[in-house]
Amino acid sequence: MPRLRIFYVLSIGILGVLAGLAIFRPLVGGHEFSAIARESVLEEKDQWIIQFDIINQEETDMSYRMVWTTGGETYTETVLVPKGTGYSHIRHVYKETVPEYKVNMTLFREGESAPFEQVTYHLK
Amino acid sequence: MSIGKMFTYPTNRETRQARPRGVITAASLLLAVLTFVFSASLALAGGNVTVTRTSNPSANAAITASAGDNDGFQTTPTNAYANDATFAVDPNSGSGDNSVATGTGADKHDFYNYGFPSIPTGSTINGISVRADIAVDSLTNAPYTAIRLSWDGGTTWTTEKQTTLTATTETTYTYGGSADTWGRAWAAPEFTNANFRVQVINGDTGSPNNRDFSLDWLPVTITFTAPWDSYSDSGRTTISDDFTTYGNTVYMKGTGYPAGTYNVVYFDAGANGGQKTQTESGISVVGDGILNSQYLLNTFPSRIGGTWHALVSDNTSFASDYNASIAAPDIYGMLGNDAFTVQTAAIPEFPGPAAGIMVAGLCFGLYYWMRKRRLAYAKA
Repeated sequence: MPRLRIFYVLSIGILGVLAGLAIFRPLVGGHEFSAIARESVLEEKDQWIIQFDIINQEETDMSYRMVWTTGGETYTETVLVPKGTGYSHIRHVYKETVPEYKVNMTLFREGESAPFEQVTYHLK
Repeated sequence: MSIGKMFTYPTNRETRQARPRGVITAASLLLAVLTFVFSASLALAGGNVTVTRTSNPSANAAITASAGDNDGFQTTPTNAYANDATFAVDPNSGSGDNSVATGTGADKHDFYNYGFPSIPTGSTINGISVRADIAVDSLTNAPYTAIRLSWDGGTTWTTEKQTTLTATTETTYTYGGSADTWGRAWAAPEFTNANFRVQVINGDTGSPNNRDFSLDWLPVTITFTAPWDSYSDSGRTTISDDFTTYGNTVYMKGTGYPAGTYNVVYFDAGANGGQKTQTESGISVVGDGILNSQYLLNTFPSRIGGTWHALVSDNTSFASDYNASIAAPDIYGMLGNDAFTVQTAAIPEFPGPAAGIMVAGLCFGLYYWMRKRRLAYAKA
């Protein structure tokens, strides 16, 4: 078999595998975990804007429940994050609503009573 | 063309035959990939999506002059506030000739204070539907119930819609619909408690007046389209429903929203109509009525391209998927829904179609290079 032909067949095979991986496994994960990423706090004239991403690198789609406590008021949000991707949450906190300049955010995996992330933002 | 044939040192005649077949094969491969990439956009659509909200009355008043026996549903009229098999009853309805709904012989009763959500000013009211769950003691003399609506506290009324009752047992009758505006153009402020009224009129075609009407529930459903759109520029001057390029941001803008706090949630085109991708919660709208939000479409790889939605709620958290959210607009306080198309190329870091094009290009380039080498051999 000519060397050029072998080279051609191998190239086609490798490219086919790469194409398949790019389509069906675009994320190459290392460890399996849930995490908060790209967390930021932006102060504006009348408010703070708190933003973060929930990244789901678990084996399966995961439901998360976040609980915000701001000045005695509670806001709860539940979200299902498909495996291998993320979800972004942006929270507007107006200054007149937080006299103690403190906002709590607790994040649970669905079905778990212990939070996997608990944050207190001291905004002053 | 077989690979074996391709790499056999050819005669000049074979070379002339092989070249077009090779070019056709490569071109076909490229065409297939491009078709795959662009086919998605053909079936997708964007634009405003209607929102339906349903409310129950919380106040009532019988019409006490020139309205039959002038007592409407005189027995427990508050039972018409909920779907609970307890009834507001109008016994021995009417006085004299009550065959004409707007005549003086038919009993009439107003229900109001529906507590509708604050529909954004400038919304298009697509339709109004009134559901009446009614029972009647007998079908003798063709008993009917008619409904008409007021937008100014009972001063002016639409033309009534009349239905002859078809069963003595409790039956649901629907007046109007999601695309029926009752003969007029409605505006959002006309649904306030001060303005909106539903009048129920009972009658029949004979005498004596001995029909007993029982009303279990009288909810009203409004279908509207909020002024809530997607834009391609941060200044929000160019409405766009199609986002095709990596790095695109969808800029959302709503107008006419009453002062208050709102949530905006973005759903991709994934399972169950789409999965929640971003929530922007606690957005305050002040006197100008403008509600802004935005989402960078390549924030997360593996989000699904197709028809996306941005929903507005009155600071209530939506369900995780789009279908569940729009199935219960009252629970989630929905006040806006806009659809827009997000092509796959706008989302991931290394999109599948882009990979396909690259692979096809590499295959074609490799094939072309090998063909040139083969021709060089042939010449030698």
